[in-house]
Amino acid sequence: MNHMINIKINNKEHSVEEGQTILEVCRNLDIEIPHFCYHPGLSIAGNCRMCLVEVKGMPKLMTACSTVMQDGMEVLTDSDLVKEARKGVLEFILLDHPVDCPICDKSGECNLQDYNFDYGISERRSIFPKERHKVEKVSEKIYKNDNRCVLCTRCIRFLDEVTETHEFTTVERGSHTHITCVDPEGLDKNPFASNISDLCPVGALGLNEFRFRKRVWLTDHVRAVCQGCEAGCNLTVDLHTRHTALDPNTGPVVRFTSADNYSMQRFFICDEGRYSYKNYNGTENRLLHPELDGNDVGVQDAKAFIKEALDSKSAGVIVLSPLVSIEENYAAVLLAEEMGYDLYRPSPFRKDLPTPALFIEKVKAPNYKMMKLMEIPKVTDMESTDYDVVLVLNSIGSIRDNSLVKILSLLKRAKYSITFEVERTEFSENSRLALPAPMFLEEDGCYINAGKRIQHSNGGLGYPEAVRSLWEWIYPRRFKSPEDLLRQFSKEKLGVELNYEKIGEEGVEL
Amino acid sequence: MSEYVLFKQLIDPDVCELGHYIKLGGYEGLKKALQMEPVAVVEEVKKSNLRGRGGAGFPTGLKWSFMPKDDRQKYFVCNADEGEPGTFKDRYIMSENPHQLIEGMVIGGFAMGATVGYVYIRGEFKFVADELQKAVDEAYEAGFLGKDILGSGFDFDLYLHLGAGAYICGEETGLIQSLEGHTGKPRLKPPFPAQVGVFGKPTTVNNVETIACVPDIIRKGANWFLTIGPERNNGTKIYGVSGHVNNPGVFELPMGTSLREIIFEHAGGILDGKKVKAIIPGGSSAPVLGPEHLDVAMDFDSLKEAGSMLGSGAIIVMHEDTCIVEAFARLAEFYAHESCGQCTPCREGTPWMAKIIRNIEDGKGQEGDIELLYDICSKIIGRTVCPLGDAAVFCIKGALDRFRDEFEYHIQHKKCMVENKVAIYG
Repeated sequence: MNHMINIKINNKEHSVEEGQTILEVCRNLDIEIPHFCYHPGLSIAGNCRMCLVEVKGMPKLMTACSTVMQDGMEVLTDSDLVKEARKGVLEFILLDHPVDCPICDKSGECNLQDYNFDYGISERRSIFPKERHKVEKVSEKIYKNDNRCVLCTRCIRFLDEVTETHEFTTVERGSHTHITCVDPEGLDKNPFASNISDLCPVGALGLNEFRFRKRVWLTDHVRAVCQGCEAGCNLTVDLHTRHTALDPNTGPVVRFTSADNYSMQRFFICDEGRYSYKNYNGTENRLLHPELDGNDVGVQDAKAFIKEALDSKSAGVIVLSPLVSIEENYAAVLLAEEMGYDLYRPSPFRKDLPTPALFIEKVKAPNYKMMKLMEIPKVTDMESTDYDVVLVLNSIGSIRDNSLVKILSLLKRAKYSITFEVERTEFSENSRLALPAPMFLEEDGCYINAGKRIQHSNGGLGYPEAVRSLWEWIYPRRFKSPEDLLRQFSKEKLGVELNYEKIGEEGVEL
Repeated sequence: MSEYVLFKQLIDPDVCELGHYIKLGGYEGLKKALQMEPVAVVEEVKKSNLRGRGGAGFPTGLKWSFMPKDDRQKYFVCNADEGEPGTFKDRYIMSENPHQLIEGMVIGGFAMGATVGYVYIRGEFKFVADELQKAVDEAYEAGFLGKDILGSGFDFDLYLHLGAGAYICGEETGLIQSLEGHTGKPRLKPPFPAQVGVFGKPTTVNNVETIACVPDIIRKGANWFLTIGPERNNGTKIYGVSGHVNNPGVFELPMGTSLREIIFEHAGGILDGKKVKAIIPGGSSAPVLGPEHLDVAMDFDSLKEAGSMLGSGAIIVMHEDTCIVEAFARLAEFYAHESCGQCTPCREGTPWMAKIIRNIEDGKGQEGDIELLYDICSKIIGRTVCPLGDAAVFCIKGALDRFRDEFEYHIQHKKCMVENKVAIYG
């Protein structure tokens, strides 16, 4: 715990940790200070002047983003002077801004729009024509609209400080200043480039593929954990919930953007993760009903087959999956413990890291750490393959070939082979019973990332048709929700009492 | 006949040569300083009441004492950007009496523990930099620069750096950015350069004229310096007079000389015997004064009292046939052009003001423009990263305050109040 200091904000006393800026303190206290250039993941620029606040004893207004709170400091964030300053800055910014919100993709999540509604003025006092610039496609992924730029330089600082690739810079001077891309090829190759679209507080930078695609206020947001690798980056998932006639027919997931996680000090996601939303927009191969010996069957028939398998009292094995959540895996673990079945795991696919790699992890599975913590042996280390009952959890596409071959041979030999799959795969084709599994975003689930942080990912979409979670297939009465499984898992396997509320948005480090 | 502290070329035209400079007591101050404790040198400068000649008038000794006394590399930077409109004083020190600047740099470096000095010269002054470089080479050869200066064990290297033509690089943190090779965009303060300056190291930036005062202060003692000029504003000052005078030029005079004496005795009076209309006393950023201020003493405190500032001591005189609106439209355009574009109020506000004033000048002004200008001024001043925004406001607000009637006449009559107005070149 750092040293605490006593301060006053808007005549209300607070005790806060020393060493924070006014803006950081206010952010923690939920006092809004509008800002464009400040971003917690970047250096302080102090150039937008939107965060000016009154500090008693100071002759001028101070930038909240750069002024460190001192003991006894008295700050006013809502005085007339501060409000007048905000009006001034907004008016300056809007002098040359096209105010083309109706066709701007940022509209609805634009800082400038929000602040102008809250603090700005609606009349235009300048009689001079606005300067116009052409919209420019700066890379395969990104477009730039200088008309809307407020020159906060967040994008430049991101590319300078975070990826250290320096593709952007400002050129010219005064009101002619604009941001330019000096290395479009580099931007194409930069594995994090699309973050600048999230970072842009206005509609100056955006993704080509999102342009004119969806009004953001017609989406619902869900916080999730990226499935791309072990890093467990937090995502804001935008879902199509309110369709309009103009919507292209593109499935339920609109886009992934980064969700800040202050505990991990992580504010950005890689482009691979960002564009992986497309994987969740449906496929013709989706398994929507249980399939027994190649035929669609009802839920009851599937359950009868499971019962028959368990009642056979034969030797059994369950292959867990580093791809699916703790809840699904734990249901399988419970089954194994009760039936005396062996537990194995496949080896996840590994991929060389790009440059820069930053927080990207080699292991391409979100829940591999759970397997490691539980010390589940590798399926390739299995000696005998003599099992009558085999249950395999959805993992195909993210595991190595030797694991795949081993699992296939298990499935082919078994009398009762059951797979739990999202899509029809080589596994489901080689099993007698294929159970339809929910996809990521269809159910709540927790994952343990490479840094041993347990995080909760929300299911926003709900199950289609006969899809069920594994626990619903095998323990329909024992548990009421995935959270029950998580509670039991954390208590028994991790020795801590956790629930979704405790894990919260930022997760818990184990 | 006043004493020449800085313009020794008026005593000996060849003072730019090392031998001649030494004959006039040159490098004696350095010899004396090297035998003193560094702290004592700083104390002596403090005692002399030397104040920064770049514009702000901050006490130099105090500024020097802000430098930390640790083992870090430190830098001493000379601001020779001389960008303030109307200012043309430092170039004559650098080209005519360069050794005095070099000597001042070494003394300052010794006092603050800085072993490297930079002279940041505006790019247009290439020919001045060439002269200064000759003197630097001479000083290296004579052992006044380089390793173990005069056997004292103190090392000091001096480098010249040419700017690339930006007013903003005269602002100390903009200068530091430019010196490091970045675009000249001022930094946020704090941290101040004395903590984090050039290449992240403690740095002090002083104006050429300030530094050139130091050798004589050390050689003759602070008490001698205190005998020149009024209290708290000691020393001589180089006044550069331009505009509608018969004899424009630079004049070294004791601090506190009246505007009247400078304009009428030294600068030869107003062109064609006309009346004075406006005087900008300290470079374009100093609020404009009128003929009633002719008897104001040209020093920091007196001008502050008169509602303006000494700035760089660049006096721009405008006579009765000048159109103030046109003159200040030109100046407003200067600030808009020179804004670095970093922070919102200055980037957007200065061109807006310039456009409005140009509109008024062109006879397209509207009712309410003056109030709008005042309002824009209030939304810029004190809210920018660096003082450029403030400077633009001082300049424009000063003109509005003093010559509001002229702006109003332009708006109402769509023409100039002045008949047969003189041309303003821009």
